[in-house]
Amino acid sequence: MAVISKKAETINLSWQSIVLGFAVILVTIFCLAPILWQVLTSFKVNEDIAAIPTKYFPSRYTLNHYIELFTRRRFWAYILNSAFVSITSTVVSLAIGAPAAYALARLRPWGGKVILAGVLIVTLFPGILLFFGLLEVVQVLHLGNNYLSLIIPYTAINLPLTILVLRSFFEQLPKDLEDAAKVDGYNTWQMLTQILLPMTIPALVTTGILTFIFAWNEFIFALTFMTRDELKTIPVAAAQLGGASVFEIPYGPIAAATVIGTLPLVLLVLFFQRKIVQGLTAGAVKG
Amino acid sequence: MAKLELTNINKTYSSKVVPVKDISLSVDDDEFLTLLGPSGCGKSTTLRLIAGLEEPTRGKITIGNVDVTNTRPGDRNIAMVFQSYALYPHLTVYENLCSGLKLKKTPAAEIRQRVAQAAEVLGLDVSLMNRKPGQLSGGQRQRVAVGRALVRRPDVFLLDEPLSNLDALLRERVRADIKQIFAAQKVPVVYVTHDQTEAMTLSTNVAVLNNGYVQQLDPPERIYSHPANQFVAGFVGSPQMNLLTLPCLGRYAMLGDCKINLPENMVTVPPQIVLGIRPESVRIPQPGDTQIIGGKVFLREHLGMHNLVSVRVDSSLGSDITVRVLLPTDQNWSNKDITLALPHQNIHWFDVQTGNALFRNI
Repeated sequence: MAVISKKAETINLSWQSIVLGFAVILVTIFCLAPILWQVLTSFKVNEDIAAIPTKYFPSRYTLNHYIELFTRRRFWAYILNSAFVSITSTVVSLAIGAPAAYALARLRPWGGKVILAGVLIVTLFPGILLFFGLLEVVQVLHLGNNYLSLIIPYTAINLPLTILVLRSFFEQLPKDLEDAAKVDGYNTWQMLTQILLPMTIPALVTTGILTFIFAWNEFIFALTFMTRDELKTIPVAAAQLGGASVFEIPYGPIAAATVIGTLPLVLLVLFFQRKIVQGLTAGAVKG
Repeated sequence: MAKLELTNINKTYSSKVVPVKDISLSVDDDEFLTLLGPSGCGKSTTLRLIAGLEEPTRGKITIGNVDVTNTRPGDRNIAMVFQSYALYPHLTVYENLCSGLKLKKTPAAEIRQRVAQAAEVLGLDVSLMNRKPGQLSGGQRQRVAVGRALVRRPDVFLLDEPLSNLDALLRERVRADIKQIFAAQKVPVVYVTHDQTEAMTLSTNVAVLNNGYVQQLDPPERIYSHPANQFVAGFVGSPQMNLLTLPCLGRYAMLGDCKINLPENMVTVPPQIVLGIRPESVRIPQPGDTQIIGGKVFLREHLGMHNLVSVRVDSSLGSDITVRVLLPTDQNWSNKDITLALPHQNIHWFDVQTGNALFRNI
């Protein structure tokens, strides 16, 4: 009797696991298909890219597209531009957002609720609406083709998210720790930097990565405010890759540029994924 | 080494929320003061006012004759042990112990020496020094929290229910340790708790708080034997004191059918009076006992060493008076008629309106 029911259990489980595995594979393929396509295209020879009927998995591979990006075009410059703008706007956004979030969470200033409501409303603004106004500002301040013209808007757009996430994280920290720090003699700034920030690293990493991804992928402002080729960021540069003639679209190099542009983000998320889950689930910090 | 004094402290958050209404007390060197009271009586708020984590609305706080009412907590030279220990989770035990000293720029050699001393007193092994608080047991964390306070050598020690997160067995051991450690420090200690046993065993003085006021400030023995009002009488002493509201007739209070003598020096006899007697003071009548009541046992609770027996007192008026008494465990008292004696010297009298004790006999 026991033997028969055990067998029934194992049969049940394997059906379930087959169906589950199948579903997982399907969903993964659906999500990753465009990326997979670009990766394959970046390694395909030009003839295979244009071949009809479409060659999904080519037989011959080439690294020419990648080499072309770095030799004939200045892809290193684009990477550095993107990195500089993204890193700076992330750092500035965290540096301003963390004290602001702390003030809203713990110091409870007069008008704190108004400030919070204002921050929330700002998040509702689509970037496109700000675009024309910002263009005027950039022209008046002669910030065209200056890294600041990208860093400042990115920081401003990312601040509401930073403040909101960090504020809810600070509110969860046990108040006893701040009391103990006050009795030990820490002043507010020391308490924030030496005691509280190390405990909020999961939240900082999560918001940092989100702001980084936004700044890295941002297209509209980067397209408009940076017109000199050596200052362009990766999204703009990849879109503007031109071929030998007006009629040629260099699918290969564009695909290669896409892959290179996405790689840092993938690496970042893979590296920090545990911290991200911690930050998003925002578990209570044991003090 | 300084005297802590609180003068007419008041803390008002809003017109409806006044946790501390008017509190004055003083703690000398070598004194251990416990703030005892039920939840919401203002004891934790008072401690936070002493620490400087809150500012009093009115009143003055001095430590060693220096007015610290408006000084920051870090500048008051106090040390506090929190109920949840509040150890910094990202620092090692050693860094936790010396964090306050580092801020005051104490030389490293002295820091090491003080930490070693504190570790020895508390029995903290050297191997623990490099661990983080998350890797310690609750008892170890508690000792690190106490160590952090000891290392600072402050003018006043403040402890906020430090034992409440420990299991019962550990609590007893740590209680004994705390008593010895702080007796050796010779500095005023203020200890907050709602546990009477801790208050009675650890302190030189107990301040019973209720509703933002000090109800009584006395050594523990006197709080037990001469409670100043009905609240203190009912709060201190386990099992709780019998507090019976009785009508008065002539020079007697009527407990059921029995006449209880009122004190001789009572000038005017009030219509009602509250009689208080502890269950352990009520006894089986012995030869010579005069005030004897009769009743029927309706509940018996086995407490190990004694039985806590609840007796409904016989009364021709049909009044519903219950007296609880601690009796030895050798007899089965269920559902029996019983007579009890109320020794005159163990009776406390309280005013019905104010609750204050009347005629506290020395």
